[in-house]
Amino acid sequence: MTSLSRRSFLKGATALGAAAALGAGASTTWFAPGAQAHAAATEEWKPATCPACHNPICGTQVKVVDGVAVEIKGDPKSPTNQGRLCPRGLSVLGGLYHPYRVKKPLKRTNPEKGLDVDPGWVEITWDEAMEITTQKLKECMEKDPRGLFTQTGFGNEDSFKRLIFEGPFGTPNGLTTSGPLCADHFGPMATKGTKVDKCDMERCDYLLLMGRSIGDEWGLAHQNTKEYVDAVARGMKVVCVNPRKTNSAQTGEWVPIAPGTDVAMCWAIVNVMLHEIGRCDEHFLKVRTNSSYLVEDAYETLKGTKVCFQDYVRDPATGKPLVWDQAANAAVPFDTSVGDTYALFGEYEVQGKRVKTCLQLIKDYVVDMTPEWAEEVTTVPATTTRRIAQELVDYARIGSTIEIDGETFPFRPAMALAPGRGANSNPLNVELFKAIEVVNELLGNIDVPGGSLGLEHGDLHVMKTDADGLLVPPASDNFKNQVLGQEKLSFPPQSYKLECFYPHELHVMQLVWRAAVDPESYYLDYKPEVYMVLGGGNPLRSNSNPEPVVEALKQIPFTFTISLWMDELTQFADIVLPEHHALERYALWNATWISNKGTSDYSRRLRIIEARKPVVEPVFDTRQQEDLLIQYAHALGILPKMTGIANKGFQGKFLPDKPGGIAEEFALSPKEPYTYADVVERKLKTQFGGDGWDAVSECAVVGYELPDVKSSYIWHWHPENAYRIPVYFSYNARSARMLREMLAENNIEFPHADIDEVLRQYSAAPLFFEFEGMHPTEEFPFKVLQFKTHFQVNDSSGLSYNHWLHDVEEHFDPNLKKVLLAPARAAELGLAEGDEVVIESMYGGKTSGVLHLSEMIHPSTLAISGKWGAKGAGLVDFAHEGPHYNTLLNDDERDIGFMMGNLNNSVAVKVYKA
Amino acid sequence: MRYGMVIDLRRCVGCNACTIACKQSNGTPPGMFYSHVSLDEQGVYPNATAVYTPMLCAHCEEAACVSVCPTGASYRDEGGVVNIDHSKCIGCKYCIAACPYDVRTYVADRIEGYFPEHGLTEQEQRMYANFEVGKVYKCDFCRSKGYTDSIDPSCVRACPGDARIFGDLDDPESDVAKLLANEQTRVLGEEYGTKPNVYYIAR
Repeated sequence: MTSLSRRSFLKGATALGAAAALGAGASTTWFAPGAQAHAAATEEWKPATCPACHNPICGTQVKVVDGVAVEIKGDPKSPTNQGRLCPRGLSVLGGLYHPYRVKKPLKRTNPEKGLDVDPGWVEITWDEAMEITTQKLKECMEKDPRGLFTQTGFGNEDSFKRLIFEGPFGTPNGLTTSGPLCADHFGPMATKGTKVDKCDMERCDYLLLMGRSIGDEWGLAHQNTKEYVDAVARGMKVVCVNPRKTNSAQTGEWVPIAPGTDVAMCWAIVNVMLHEIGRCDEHFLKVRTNSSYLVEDAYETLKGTKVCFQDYVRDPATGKPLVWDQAANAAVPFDTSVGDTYALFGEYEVQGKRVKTCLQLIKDYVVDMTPEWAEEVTTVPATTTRRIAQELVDYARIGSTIEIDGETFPFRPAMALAPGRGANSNPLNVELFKAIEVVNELLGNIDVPGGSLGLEHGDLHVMKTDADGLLVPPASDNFKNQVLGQEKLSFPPQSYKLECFYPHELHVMQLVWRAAVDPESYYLDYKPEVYMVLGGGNPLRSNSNPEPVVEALKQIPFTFTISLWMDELTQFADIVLPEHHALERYALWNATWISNKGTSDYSRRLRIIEARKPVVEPVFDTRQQEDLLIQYAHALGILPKMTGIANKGFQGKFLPDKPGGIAEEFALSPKEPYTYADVVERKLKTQFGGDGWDAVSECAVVGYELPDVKSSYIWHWHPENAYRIPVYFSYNARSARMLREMLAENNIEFPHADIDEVLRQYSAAPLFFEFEGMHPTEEFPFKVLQFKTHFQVNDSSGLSYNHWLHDVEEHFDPNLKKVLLAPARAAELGLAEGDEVVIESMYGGKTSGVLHLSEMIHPSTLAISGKWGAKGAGLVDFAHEGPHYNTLLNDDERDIGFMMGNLNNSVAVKVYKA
Repeated sequence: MRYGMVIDLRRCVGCNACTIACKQSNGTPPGMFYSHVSLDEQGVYPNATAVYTPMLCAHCEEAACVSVCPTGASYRDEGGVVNIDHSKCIGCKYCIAACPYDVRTYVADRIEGYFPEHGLTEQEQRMYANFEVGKVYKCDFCRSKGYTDSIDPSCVRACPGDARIFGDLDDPESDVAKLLANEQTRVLGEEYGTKPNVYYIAR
């Protein structure tokens, strides 16, 4: 172990020794409370499931001694994690008896609201709490149900997935805290009808990571981390393009890049592939994409950017898009044949117009986006970009096939992986996805062995096409609009999701608060009346600059939260309803599709459903969130609707021959309130028969395996030209055209933004522009950067309050809760390790923290790990520690991603001594 | 029988699952870790690296802690596990001074837990009952938890990357023995001559 110096070897240990002194020379009393009482303790390991990341799928066991949960471990019988468990999952137990939980229903007595204002809590009974909240909901429903705003988040993942309440109530304003960060589904939705792209860890040989982690930075326990280290061990080359040197960057190649500029590098790779290498998977492009579709290159220039909103050239008789058939030497409808004879490139005369293929148009639009050009933007040397493009093509083995279970598949073991929150959160968000998906399409690697895969299983995943032969995501998918947009735009907007102005997004969470205090300027004719917060939703800690949120929250007449913890949101609540901890509640989660499962042959075949009974009796006077929703629905007369939705679709399909909801024979009755335990049991009976719970009595996670490896690839179910995917993003163009028409028809302005700025982000063709905050300035000489830590993934389930994690943070990880700066840059500014510094954003936000010098970040950046610096009263002290990253981010339209409604996650900042 | 561990640093992502698994499973009080991951950054941009070193008692064959213990409280058992007989421990802390790995902790004062302002939680009350003021505590490969030969220590079971491998170094068929035979391994602090039984495969 030559890399390990004596100094580093003792470093952690020294810190430990100092911390563990525990007050030397003190009294000789020792603590053994109740030691004798437990002489004949009853001890049992109970099966449970982990609630600690977004879409958790690990099975656990909890040791319960005389009714007290004392220990947690990964369940060796669980098919997902097989006994492993990550630091977050292992910390879950720490939340159960945590003294900073909400312990009783609380009522505010101080009408003044603010982050630093004492709410004057008084404890009340559950009856009083339910009476007050039910009455407020009733008044709101009678006045205008749209006035109910609900807020979920990843803060308490265990109650994130719940019974649907908003629809039956009649409000379109069901908001999720994570909205502006959920912009990372565009690419996967467009090319796979799924939410997240994955790399085939079993067969990929070359993985280009654009600002994404693949298990290394999460330490996920359910195969994901294991598969990553296995893949590296078998020789997969990892090229990690990232402003920070992540773990995977250390196991492969690190390409440091200036934050928010990734798109330039990706279009430059496309440039090299099309203009220099000239080798791509022609068969794939012809039969599986819209590369051959003809389009008129009638561009326009918006804000100095060349954009294209053209529809395909269509057959007048059928309305179908035309392609140029080289065999017939004529334009024919796209579905005339499989496509092998269609032209991929070239310009043609059709219907009296000069037209070109979509791929030719892409090639033309990236002609100036050379590696040399990209170097100016990204700092990545042109030679590096050029080499990576060549390596992708070489490793992809274009034209090769592989036999799996007797079936022949295309084999493309190289890919670029679409980014997560960091790289994709800026106004060029959609562009980055477009560029990465085009790279993968040129390699022909989508949904084939070795390549870029989705999350779904082909036996259940619906892969339909539109009239143009293009893939459309499943109708039931919340995120389908990210690629399709709204079918038509109707003005004025009905919801605070501002759907007619942002037709592709889930909702523009950061604008909700601006609209709430100034609805008229967004053409809204009502205000939020009741704000109901569940599932740990917390727009003050997540998203962007919290100031406008505070203003809005002060104005909302009635706020109530169903909370596990006192946090920023309870600080503004009129009533706080205490919620069960995960280990006290019933839960069921069908992880048939899942955003973080692995991709080995083993895990690709596997899907799971999991269900948990309470492991212990409630520690405090808490209730199950879903039971409260059922009670409200009953009191409000909407239980039949809510029940209907649950019966029809609760948690969806798992076993292929069982219904997606609850079977008729076990259906819930809408007449009388039921419990969530009952809902879970009926779902289990639907799937497994018996008493339902039998299936999960030994292990709370039940697996179902596809019969063979070949059926774990989507290509097996939908080969060749079963559907096509876009290189030219025609739905973007459709929405741009509709937006323009809608504004003109109603004679209105786009709220708070120049319509040309909005529309240029909708181009169907490649584009690039410099957005506000893209580069450091003289006054703000750094780009701020947030990176994931093993202790904070989505801040799920109270991890920032966890004392064990905090203990580790304090002793062993110098990166956590710190502000990272390159030593050379710190020297320029006269700053040193350990200095207390202020970080000031170009948008005015300020936060402070302790400086840690690091050689592992791009020198243009200032990096902060995770989400720290919680505010509000009633939190455990250490939750306030560390910088609050999101304070630095902008919350208005100046740097928004207009298609996805996403915020800009990396802005220019300055740093100085506090 | 000689229990030992191989830590494959190629498979370690520095997540500290081992640290937390150990902490909650052994119920160690604040600031006490039988196992943790040491993190050190080395080198210069862009070639710097973060060096993760999972640390725990190395269960040395020539354990310095055992040889300096004046009462025989620290001993090496028949399975090669370096252990402490707390009925003999007088809290002299010689072992802490002698251990090159600094993985022993002395309980100097009444354990007030993680939330001293609220008293001990129910879970803490149960777990801290195992700790006595004035004594020294350390990793015993989870053997005192009643784990048998076939049950790995908590840190090993939890590891998301399967980086920790545990077993009988004297059994040539064990995974640890095979790794020692087939891979380049090293021990920490070889210069102290304590013959540790925790081995590392370098990244």
